[in-house]
Amino acid sequence: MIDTGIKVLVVDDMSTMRRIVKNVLRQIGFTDIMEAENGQDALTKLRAGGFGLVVSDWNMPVMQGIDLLRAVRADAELKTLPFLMVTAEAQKENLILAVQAGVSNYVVKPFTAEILQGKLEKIFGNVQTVQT
Amino acid sequence: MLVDRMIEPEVSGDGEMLEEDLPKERVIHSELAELTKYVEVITQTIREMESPVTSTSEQLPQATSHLHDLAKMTEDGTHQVISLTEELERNREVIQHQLEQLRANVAGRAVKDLDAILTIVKADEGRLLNIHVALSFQDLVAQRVEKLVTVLTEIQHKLLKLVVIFGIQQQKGVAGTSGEGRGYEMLRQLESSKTTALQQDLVDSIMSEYGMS
Repeated sequence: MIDTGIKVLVVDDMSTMRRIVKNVLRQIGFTDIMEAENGQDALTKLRAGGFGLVVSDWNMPVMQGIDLLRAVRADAELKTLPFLMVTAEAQKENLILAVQAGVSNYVVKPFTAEILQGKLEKIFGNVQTVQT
Repeated sequence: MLVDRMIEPEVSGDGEMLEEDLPKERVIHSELAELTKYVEVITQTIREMESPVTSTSEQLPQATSHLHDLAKMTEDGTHQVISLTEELERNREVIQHQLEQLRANVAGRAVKDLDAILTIVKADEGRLLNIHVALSFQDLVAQRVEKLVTVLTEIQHKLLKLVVIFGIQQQKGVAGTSGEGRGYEMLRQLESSKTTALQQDLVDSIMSEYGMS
């Protein structure tokens, strides 16, 4: 069960992708959605607090998605934050790096709304299972 | 010929060429003459290449510019389609809401008719969402274009180096010659992205190997 009341951070250097992901998230039911253009921008916003989910691209200037993920997992306050990687960077090596860094799930572009929703359901299903 | 001037036959102390040296000297002379001809042909070929190489190296920045334009145009177009789709979705929501209100106030056959219309209107929600998602192609296009631009820049540098090395023309302000081999690396990545990129089902399969569904 997805808690659509949480605040979501969409991280992507492409404004079109941020808009697309936001629209899909809105359709799923999320209303509190913020944006960041790169990992550094995202980290600053995440450290300000209040987020319940990160949906991040891999390839970004300044700080890449994988570095953002590592920084999140290394931060005592953020380390349990659900982190969904949405990326075209779908080579096996990258996927393994992301898994090793603690990614919650991984969606390959181009994706469908059903895939994104399915992944979120799995992430929150797992979170719920861990919490209960 | 240059070689004729440079290679003087070996002579003895009194100016007479030794008889036994003559055949060897002729062979060397003949080989050098052939080598000279070969160098002349190469030089001529390089001169003939001057125009196409220079022209190509000058056209590459234009090609790069076209690619940047292409990325920008697809980005602008995508934003436009997203905006129009958002408007359609807002209208669809209003129509759905009004139909539901109308349905609550009617009876009989009208209810069935309104239900049929509502089914169609609700189905459009998914279609509009799929239009949004399908537009993510623009991000993939932009990434590929960026890789192509890097490759073209690298090719331009290589061509200009060729031009300079063979002295076809003076180097014309080669910008950013650093990062040698980066273009090839990006080309390799571009190529590998076509052949080794994972599909979602394979990603899921690998994730499940790590105990993640």
